[in-house]
Amino acid sequence: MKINENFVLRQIADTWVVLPLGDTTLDFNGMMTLNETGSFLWSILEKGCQQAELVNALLNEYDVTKEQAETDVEEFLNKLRNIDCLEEL
Amino acid sequence: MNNKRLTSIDEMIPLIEERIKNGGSVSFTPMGISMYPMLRHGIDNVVLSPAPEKLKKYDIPFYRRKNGRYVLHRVVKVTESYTCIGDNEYRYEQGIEHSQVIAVVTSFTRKGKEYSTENLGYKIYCRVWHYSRFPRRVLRAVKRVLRNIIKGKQK
Repeated sequence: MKINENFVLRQIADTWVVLPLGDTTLDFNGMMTLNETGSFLWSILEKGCQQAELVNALLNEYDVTKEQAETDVEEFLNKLRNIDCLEEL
Repeated sequence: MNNKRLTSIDEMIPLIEERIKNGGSVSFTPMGISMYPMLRHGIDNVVLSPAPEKLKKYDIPFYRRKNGRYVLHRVVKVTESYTCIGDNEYRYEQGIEHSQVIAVVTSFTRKGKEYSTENLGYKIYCRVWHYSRFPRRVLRAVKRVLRNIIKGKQK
């Protein structure tokens, strides 16, 4: 899976914002923001990867249990799918 | 993975300016009561688009004051510069240069319904609300005086 090319991540102060490219109206109400962990996963997904790689990356980088990492990754991917931000390869 | 909203205008400004400069539009919920009753604080939504070369009377520009504050108020007089005022205000702000204007409201959503600024009902509202400003102000002053008299008698 991979981040759809029509989206970019931009850092505004201490928040990362998922921005749709193109000429659609930029809606601040529905804007998705990410924290540091989210932006970390995003950077991996930009290059394209498998779900298990994301879980491993979280385990290597943060002090979390495997179950917690799996739940977090699942939740994160679902949020991206909800805004059509993810391409399943 | 949080869903913190960008609410501070300073955080939003770079994104708004960039999108408008590229000819796109942005949508957000303005804060403040100065455009009441058209826009309710934190509830109603506006769409901002690139401003034309010259604004017209009743347009609602999003502009930057010389003190750095960002405002969304209505144009009520066009000369070489603009005079603006919020629908819920009584004090005119004169001398707003076109270069201070970032974008202009082209539509808004109120109670779940989207209205274009070309909507006839909206155009009537702008005019009625603007021309009733003086009587509204008088009425407000009279109410205040009466309230004070009543309070005074009660003491």
